[in-house]
Amino acid sequence: MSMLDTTDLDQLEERVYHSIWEDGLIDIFVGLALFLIGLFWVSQDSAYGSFVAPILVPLWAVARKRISEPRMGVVILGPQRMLKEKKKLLGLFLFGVFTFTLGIGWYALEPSGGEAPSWVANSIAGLPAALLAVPAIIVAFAFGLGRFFVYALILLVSAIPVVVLDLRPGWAFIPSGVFCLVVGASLLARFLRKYPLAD
Amino acid sequence: MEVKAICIPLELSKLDRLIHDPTRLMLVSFLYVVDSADFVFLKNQTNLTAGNISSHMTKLEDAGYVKVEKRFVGKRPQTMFRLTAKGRRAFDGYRNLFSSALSGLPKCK
Repeated sequence: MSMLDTTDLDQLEERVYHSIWEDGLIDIFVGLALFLIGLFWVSQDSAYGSFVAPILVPLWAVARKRISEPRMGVVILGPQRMLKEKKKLLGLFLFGVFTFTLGIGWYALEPSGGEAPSWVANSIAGLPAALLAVPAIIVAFAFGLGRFFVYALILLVSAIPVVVLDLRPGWAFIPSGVFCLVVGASLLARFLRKYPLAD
Repeated sequence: MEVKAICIPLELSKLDRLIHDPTRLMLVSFLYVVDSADFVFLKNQTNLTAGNISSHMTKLEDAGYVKVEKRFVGKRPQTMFRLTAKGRRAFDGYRNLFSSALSGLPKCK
């Protein structure tokens, strides 16, 4: 009987939605992206970092098709959920545009190289990791993926030694990336055990 | 021995028996909250056997409640199920009728 309540149907929809993220692939690819961007930045080849996301996003889609879908099956979410997802992605995109514009604006308005306040100048190396923690928190809230709060926290914590020891900003990305990779790999291992490939 | 009259709301007799079956109710509920899902997904989510899902889906398809699409993804066959507009209306009707029928039942002591 309770199965028929609207609340229970909502819960059922939530359950279906969360099953999509059970495979840990999103964590693996986010971790890989953070690790590679960090590595390129540290090795002073940061330009290569800009290629990471355009390469990894299609690879993630392929991995889902090859690994998740044959095991867990395919579900196409309802129109209301799809609309919600589009709004969330738009929010993330707008955040990216806002951050990018802010960064460009800063340089454009400070042609002399910037007379930034001393606290900003001192902590600038930790800023990229801190900024990246924001979309991680948005993802955690919007997609109901609590583990992204932890990733955000690690990004923030990793920024501290970078600022204190005056390291290259990429160093803050590497521990977060490795942590995401480890979590993703353990989720994937559990997923593969739970959903063996059918004959 | 005195037999007490049990008052069962008449609405219960009007329930859609095709949906009222527990297994079909579960399958229809899953399909109601999504756009469509394939056989493997439903099997994993419901823990039903393949044969069980097949036989119930055939009944739902025959009634026009579910649309079945079979295709190949690479070398793998994929069977997608989608609740039709008729199926959604039937499920809405079932929920409303069942809820009102239940509210009419005497409370348990």
